[in-house]
Formats: sequence, structure tokens, C-alpha cells
Amino acid sequence: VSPDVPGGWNDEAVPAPAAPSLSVQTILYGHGPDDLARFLNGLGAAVRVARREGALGPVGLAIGDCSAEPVVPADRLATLADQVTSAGIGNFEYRFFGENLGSAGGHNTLFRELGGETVLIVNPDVYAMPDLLAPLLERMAEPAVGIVEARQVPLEHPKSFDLATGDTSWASTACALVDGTVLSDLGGFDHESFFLYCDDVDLSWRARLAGRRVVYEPAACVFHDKRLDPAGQVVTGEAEVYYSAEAALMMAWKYSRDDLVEEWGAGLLTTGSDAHARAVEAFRSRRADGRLPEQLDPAGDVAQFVGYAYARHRFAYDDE
Amino acid sequence: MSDDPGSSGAPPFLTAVVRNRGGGDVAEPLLSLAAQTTRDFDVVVLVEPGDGVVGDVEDVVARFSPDFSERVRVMATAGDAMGGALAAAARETRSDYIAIVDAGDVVFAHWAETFAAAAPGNEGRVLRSLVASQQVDVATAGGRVAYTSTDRPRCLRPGPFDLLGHVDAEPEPLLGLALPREVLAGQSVAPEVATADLEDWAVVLTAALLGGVTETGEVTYLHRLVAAPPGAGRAGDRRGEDAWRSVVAALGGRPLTLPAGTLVTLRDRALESAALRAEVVRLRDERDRAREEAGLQATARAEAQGQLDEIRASASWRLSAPVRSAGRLARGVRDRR
Repeated sequence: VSPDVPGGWNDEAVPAPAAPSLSVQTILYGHGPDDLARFLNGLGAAVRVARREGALGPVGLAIGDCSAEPVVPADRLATLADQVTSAGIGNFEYRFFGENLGSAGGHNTLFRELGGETVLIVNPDVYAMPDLLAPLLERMAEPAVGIVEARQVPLEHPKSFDLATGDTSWASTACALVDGTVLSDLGGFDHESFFLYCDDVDLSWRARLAGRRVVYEPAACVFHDKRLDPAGQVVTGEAEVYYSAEAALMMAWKYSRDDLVEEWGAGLLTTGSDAHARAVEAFRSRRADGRLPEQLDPAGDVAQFVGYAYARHRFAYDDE
Repeated sequence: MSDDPGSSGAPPFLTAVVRNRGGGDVAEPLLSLAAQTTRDFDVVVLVEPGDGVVGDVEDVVARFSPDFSERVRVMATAGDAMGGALAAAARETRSDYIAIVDAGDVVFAHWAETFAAAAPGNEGRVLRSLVASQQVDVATAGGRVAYTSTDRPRCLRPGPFDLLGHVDAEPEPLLGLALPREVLAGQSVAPEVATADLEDWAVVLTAALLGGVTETGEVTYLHRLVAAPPGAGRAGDRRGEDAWRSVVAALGGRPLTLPAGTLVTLRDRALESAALRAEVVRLRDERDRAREEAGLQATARAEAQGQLDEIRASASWRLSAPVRSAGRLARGVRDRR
């Protein structure tokens, strides 16, 4: 599929005067042009609908590319820019990093260079519901809200949340709206500690320690390309097994749960896979080298460790 | 197979039929279709008639990207049963296959791609993917209504398609299947079929018997249960029972394709049936013998009772009554000492 998109979307190009601006950030790694085209189709419709409803002002899109080779070759950049512009997105940046910075590092780089009043952090394997943005922006306007998470289909995250207020332990940045001041005040994601997973849990907990609310908005819906195997388990790759284990140990350390560091480390070594064992060794190596982050929340005011999860869950995707 | 049916003018490989039975949500099924990894399909949304319903659904469609919305048509069922409308939709499209997505449900991103990969070399056969189901509630956070899941998804029928099970015990859901278009367009489904669940049952039975079933092994469909799951369809429904018999009778008069292993299964079931019949005969014999024994015992008891009654009615029994009373009195005095 060519990233070309049918035109005719420019009728909503004039932003409402008082509507909030939005910076959209996504990080590519090994994706193809079709993936990017699909992502832009969903985002473009969401921008158009929110713009038509007067809920959205100027929009910028920043794409960071951590792939080994550029997903968008130089000779296709103009076409991509046209596609983005036709979706009513005024500013467009494509940055090929030339190295894998990880999701957290990529987002930090984009935000550091481009900034943003309100930032939509979103995965490129997400397809936005046309009605996505207005509910997110409305929630963000509530007092003290710093991060608003969208609901994912087909596999919704099982975290519990307050049905009345939407408040929740942490927000998945597969698709989340983040107040720009949260990112700037907190120094963005802790990409030194969290390469691929739990960077969003950590950002959420630091935001809450700073007095900001993290809320879940089920009316804001996105499709996230996650899949099930015939046993009903979520399909995961080797990298996810390794990095989620490493991130779990880092979370336990950073949020002052030395007991869990020891318990989880021992458990992963005795009952886990080879990937788990490598993750434990990597963590211990960092600890020996003094490369662990400063410990936070010693009284456990914010951090929630429930089993191996970072919130109470309504259900578990496996039968644990 | 082209991945861009619009540019070549060729019909798409697949038509997704979204059934809006009972006014369920179509936005999320459409979202999941818009997010597919292939564009080689079009979409027909079937809606039941009602004031403004078609217009409302068309508004939902129009909010999506033109890349997707231009491949979607909205059709009213015009008061027909949904099965009739399904056949009409099948006659209008030119795709090779038709697959159902019910309102409120969602498909995974590789739903269409999985069918497309399984089709070559399996023309005329049903393509079967796996269906997971999940309980959901309706959340009302922030005054807006949305689904929220309350339990993990579970595969409904993870094993291979079971034709005989579908016929007599556990109906296979229509969801998760891609059906050759001619099966629906050719009105192979008996017109007597009237109830919604039986429609599905008959469509699956017909398609599977006419061409066979090819398994993809992939979980590509999520059936979301907002309330109690729908019943199997034909139990306890006289009209449904009659329609079921009609479907079986109609198919019984045609040469059909049976899947591999069916003969062995039929033999095993015949042996099992014979064993059960023999057990029934044995139990009936045992029951009859028990009844006969009980009858003999009742006769003996009646005869004994008659003899006792004769004794009590005799003159000698009445004349000796004071003697028996004195004896009881004497035993009572002795026992109190």
C-alpha cells in the first residue's frame, strides 16, 4: 500500500480559536510503510473529527525512527508530508535516529527537540477511533490531571480504575495524552532505567508523586494490534519476556521494594526462562556497577505491587 | 490477489458483513476492520429497519478515514430475517468469501489476512479461524458509555471443526468463519429457517457439508458477551425444531462432502449407540424382574394380612381377650420392680 491517502480532508484545516493544541509522538522500530500508512489513516480521521467538533487546535506530528534503515526513504518524505498535511496536521517532523534509542529514549528526544503543550504518546501499531481525541482532551482539562489513557481493543488492559473519576494506578502509553508540563518537569521518561517496558508505569508514578492525577478514559478508544494464541494467552516475543523481567526488577528497586528485588530475582532464576535469567544478571550487573536509579516513594504512597502487576487487575490474561 | 481492490477494479477477496442485530455497537467492529493489515476486503453493514438507523450508521462510517469508509456500504434488512438479508448482501458483492462480524464484537488485525493466506488451494471450502469470547460490562466513566472487559478471553472451540458435534450437540458459531460467497448467494440455506441462531447453525452446516472446512489455527475474532450468552437456538423452540428438521431434510437429499475422520467417528458413535441400546435392554429386563418380584411380595403380604384379620375376627380370639389383658398387666408390674 502506498502511503498516499485520498485527499479532501482540508475542509477542517482551520483550527478552532480556543481549542488546545496537540503534539503527537510515535516511535518506529522495524515497521513498514504500510504500518505507517495505516497509523496515519487512523490518526488523520481522529484529527479531522475533533477539529470539526471544535475540540482541537493546531496539531503537530513527530515520528522518531529507531530502525536500522529509515522506514521512510528520503524520496518518500514529501509524499508522507502531503499525507500528513491533508489530514489537517500542520507541523510534521520525521527523525531517523540511526540507532535504537528504545521507546522511552525516542520519545524523550522528540519532546526535548520539539516540545508540546499537550502530547499524545502513541504506538505506531495503534489505529485511532475517529472519536478518540475529544474525550481525552476533556479529561485532561479536569483539575490536576497529568496523564489520560485511552482504552485499547481488542485486548483491553486489565488494570482497575475508578468508574466515577477514571483514576488509576498508571497509564499505558500505547496511547496516552500527557500534559507537556509533566514531561518537562519530570525530565520525560526514565530511559536509562527502562528501555522498552515500564517506562510508562514509572512516568505515571512520578507524576502522581508530584501531585498529578493519572486517569483512564474508556470512552476514548484505539485499536492496538495485540493477538491471542489458541490457549487464549497474549502472544509475546522473546524481547518482551526479557525486557519486562528486567523492568520489573528496576521498578521494584526504584520504588524502594528491596524485598521484591530479592524475591523476584530468586524466583526468575529458579523457575524462569533463559531470558529471565539474563534479565536478572543484567540487573545485578547494573547494581554492582552503581548504575541503578535513585530510590523513590519509600513509604509506598503511590507504588502498587500486586503480584507481578503494578495495579490491582480486574482479571489476569493468564490463569495465574 | 491484489491488496488494493480499488485501484485495479478487481473485486476484493473478502466481504465483511457486520450484522447490527438488536441495535448493537458498530463503531468498534468497524474500527477493528479499519485496522486490518490488508485492504483486500470490503464491508457491508446490515442494519435492522428503524427510524434513522441507516443514517446513524452511515454517520459512524463517514467519520472513518476515506481509505476505509469508501469500502463500506450500509444496507437495511427491509424487514427480512437477517439470513435473507445476508443472502441479498452476498448476491450484491463480487468477493470470493464472506465473513460475519456481529455488532459489539471485534476482530484482530490479522483477521482478513489470515483468511487470505488460507484460501489458495482451498477454493469452495469454509475457512475457519478460532473465536475467543470475553465478558464485558458497560462503563459510564465521565458520562460517556463504553465497554470494559471483566474477564480474560477464552477460546470457544480451540479444537478442529466438529461436524457431527455441530449437528447434534454443540453448534459451531458462524463467527470466525469465511464462507464461499456462492453458498450464501445461492440460497442454499433452507428458507424455513426463521430464528436467528438457527440461521447461523444452518449456514455453517450447509457450507461445511458442501465444501468442507480448512483450519487456519489462528485466533482472529473476539466475541464480547455483554449479557448472558445466547442459547444454542433449537432447544425448546417448537418452531426452531421444525425448521431444524427442514434443514436436515433438505441437506439429506443432496450429495455432500464429509470431512476426514467422519467415518471413524460415525463408526465409533454407532458402536457406542449399540452398547447403549444393549444397556437399555438390560436395565429394562432388570426393572421388569424387580417389578415381578415386588408383585409376588405384595401378594404374599396380602394373604398374610387376610389370615391375621380372620384370626382377630374369630370367637375364640374375642373370648380370650380378658386373659391377654391380665397377662399384660402382670408383665407391667413385674417390669417396674
